[in-house]
Amino acid sequence: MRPHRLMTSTGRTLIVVMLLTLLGAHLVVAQGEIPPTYQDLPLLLRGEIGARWTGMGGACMALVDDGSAAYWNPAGLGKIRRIEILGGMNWLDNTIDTEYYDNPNTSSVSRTRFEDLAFSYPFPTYRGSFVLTGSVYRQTSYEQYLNRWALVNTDTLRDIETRDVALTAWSGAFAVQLSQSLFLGAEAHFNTGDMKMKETYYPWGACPEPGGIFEQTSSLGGYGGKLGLVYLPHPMASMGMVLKLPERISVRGSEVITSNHDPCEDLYQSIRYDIDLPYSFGFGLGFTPDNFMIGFDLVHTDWRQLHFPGRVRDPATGQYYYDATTDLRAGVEYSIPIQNPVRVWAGYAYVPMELNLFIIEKNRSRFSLGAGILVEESLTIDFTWQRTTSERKHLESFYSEKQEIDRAIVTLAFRF
Amino acid sequence: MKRRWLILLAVLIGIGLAGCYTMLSHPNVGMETAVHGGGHHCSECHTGNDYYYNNYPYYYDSYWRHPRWWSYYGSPWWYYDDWYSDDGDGGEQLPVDRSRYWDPRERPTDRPVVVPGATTGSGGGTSTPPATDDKKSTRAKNTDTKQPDDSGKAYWNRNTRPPKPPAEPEKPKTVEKKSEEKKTKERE
Repeated sequence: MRPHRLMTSTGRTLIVVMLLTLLGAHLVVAQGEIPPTYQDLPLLLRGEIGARWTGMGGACMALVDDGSAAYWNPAGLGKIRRIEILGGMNWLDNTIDTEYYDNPNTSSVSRTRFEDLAFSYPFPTYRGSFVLTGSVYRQTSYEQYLNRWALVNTDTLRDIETRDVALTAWSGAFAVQLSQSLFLGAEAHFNTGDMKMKETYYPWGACPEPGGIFEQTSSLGGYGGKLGLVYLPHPMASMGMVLKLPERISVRGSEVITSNHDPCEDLYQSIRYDIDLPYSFGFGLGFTPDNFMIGFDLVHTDWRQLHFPGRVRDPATGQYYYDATTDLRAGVEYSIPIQNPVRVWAGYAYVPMELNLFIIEKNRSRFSLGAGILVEESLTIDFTWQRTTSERKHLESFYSEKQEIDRAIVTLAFRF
Repeated sequence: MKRRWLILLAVLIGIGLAGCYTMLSHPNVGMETAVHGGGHHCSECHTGNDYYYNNYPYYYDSYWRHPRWWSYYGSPWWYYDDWYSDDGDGGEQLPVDRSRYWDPRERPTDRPVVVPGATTGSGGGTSTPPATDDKKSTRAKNTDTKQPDDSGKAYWNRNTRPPKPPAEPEKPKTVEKKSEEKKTKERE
């Protein structure tokens, strides 16, 4: 939002280019620019929390009925009837297969993180429902290690990029029942977190030492919120609507660019800028025939309304770097009719990429499977495995990448 | 921008709580009015055992069919089925096997009272909730009497709700059996 920050991404690239050019290195741009990763903001990733709802592909806007509703649809909190403590962890493995000038390479990284913790208190009522929830949840949790290299003739072309982003929301939410079949909910949160990005450029040639390193370390802040409705026209059908309000993410930290050849070329600067994510509109349907729970969700976001100091559109052509996206989500749960309460679920989500600078060969899609049990009518233990896949390429630089993100999520919820 | 947010939040809370369907306190109908006629009668709301359930707008069929899921999702932490039940003979209520391990906490002291002689409802008699310190016996939920209407209509909807139960509601078999045994012993 600050004009001087417009220099950040473009200026940074220029500085790196200048540094390495001055050092006599032939930066990869000479052959074809590496895809502009700075527009590929990991903060735009739409996360999913809670094993059960992630397992249903996130198609839960009309169905969610536990503390994770603060994330999915706060109106769903109104369905909670017992005091609840919910918490979860997730394990992530991000594998990226790259092909750069016909040279394949595989990079992977894994990470285990806390995912969410929520406390919900339904007030005793004589009629209807009024529930307050305080929670902490990961809005974005992303880890990436990308090592792309190419052997062209006798020269090596290499670029290593690592990213580690964790954006956590500290949330307060409430839901109230407005009529026999209508729930209203609202959620507000403030963000904390950190983002580390590091890129190591190797000079064109056979040199084993990096030519330059760019490193950004920043703390994240900001705030956001959402409004939700759940309507139950029939015991076996429900509808949910969510309006996600613009999210402000503030980035404060420092950038360091170092040259291994001449320390005088090193550059240090503090960074301070804000990113404004646009509105999101969501609509979901839920059906609950015997022993089944079926959900369908649509979420629309116009990423062209994104505001951040980097480029949002091409200055030459005026074309946006970002698209409007509509996520499609579907999921089904089956409660096995046996004495012990066990249920299984599966889901699919089509979550298109926001950035259009690449040629998308296979858009981002997520498959998930999971199961859960109820212990002593008080504790649910849910587990879900999810795989996200996508493929994209960049013709100018003869670069393509295929990404597979595996996640395993465990969520426990205890009701008093 | 923050100011706009605060205003929005205040408006939402205002809408949510002012004149809302949700009632955090019992409506002031006046007990004398309720007992001596005129105005509202408790039994208009407290019919049989299922005042809350009849007004509970959210359940999934599978939750109803599986009592454990129902207990987890549908049973309010502050509500006890046996508040509104009476075995008619003052017989004790029996614990059931499905009682929750983590059985609750203190109940509200202003629990509703079923008026003697009511034409509908539990068949008369003031409700006799079990002792609060008897944690194991507090959940005497009889799910057999709480199955949803088989017709598939919205059970909770006022318009499609099944007719009120007869004056002598069906009692849990275990309780009846216990009462009969008690009577037999008394005769002997």
